[in-house]
Amino acid sequence: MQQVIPGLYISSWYTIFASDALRNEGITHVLTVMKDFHESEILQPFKRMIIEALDDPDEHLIDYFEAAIQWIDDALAEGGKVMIHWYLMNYVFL
Amino acid sequence: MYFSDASLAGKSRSATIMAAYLMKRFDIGVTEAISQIQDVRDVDPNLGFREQLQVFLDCNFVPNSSKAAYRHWLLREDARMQKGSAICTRNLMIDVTGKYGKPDNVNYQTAGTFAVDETGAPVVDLRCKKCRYISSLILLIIDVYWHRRSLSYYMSRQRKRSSINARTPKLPRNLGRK
Repeated sequence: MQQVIPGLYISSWYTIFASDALRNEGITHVLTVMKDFHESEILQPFKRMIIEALDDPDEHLIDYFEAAIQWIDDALAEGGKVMIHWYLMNYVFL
Repeated sequence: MYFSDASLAGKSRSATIMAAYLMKRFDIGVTEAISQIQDVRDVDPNLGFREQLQVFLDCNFVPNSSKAAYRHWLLREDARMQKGSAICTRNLMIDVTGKYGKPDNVNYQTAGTFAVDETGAPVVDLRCKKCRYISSLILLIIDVYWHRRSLSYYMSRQRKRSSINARTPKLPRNLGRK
């Protein structure tokens, strides 16, 4: 988990297992970008936004930009700390 | 099958959302926004997402079908999707304003206005000139600067036909046979 600007963090999937780290950083909001989301108990205490998108160049991520930016703005305005993370394992077929 | 390393996966999506936010808040370009994230984390949004960020910028952060840059992107997306299909494998790239490069081929023709969308703008079919497969239903692109005469020509021709015939996609001849 890395801080990009004050209050805004970027992270991978594995961070949700480190709930202590999230609590120590004071994360209040979690923005998840993934398809077929399965709710996790670890993320229950956080305010959530879920964008259902695949990691695919054809995915129309642009349609979510406005809502996501508005959500982040609101979260930061109320003094929260936002973490944006993705949430999907890549399967590699051998 | 195995799960790939964390550093290999998921470099794109969350970084793209983050970059969109940085671009709007600090009024910076796509490359700057991405490099700002790359300073703290190894991310690499794929080309499709980078293009969407550029479109987001070109639309003044309000991407919708009333913006030319958004419509052109939809058209390019559609062209890319069609390119690999079995129905029509021709190069379908169309760049209407020429902003993203010189319009290199005119394999497609606009085939008339038949319907009107909720904003009152006419809807246009784009079809492959050869097999008549409908590529996309998009809003009429107003800022056509090249091929303008042919556009109005096809529009006037289509109006004379019955709307039912005009909206039915014509299949290639050989597909109709047994």
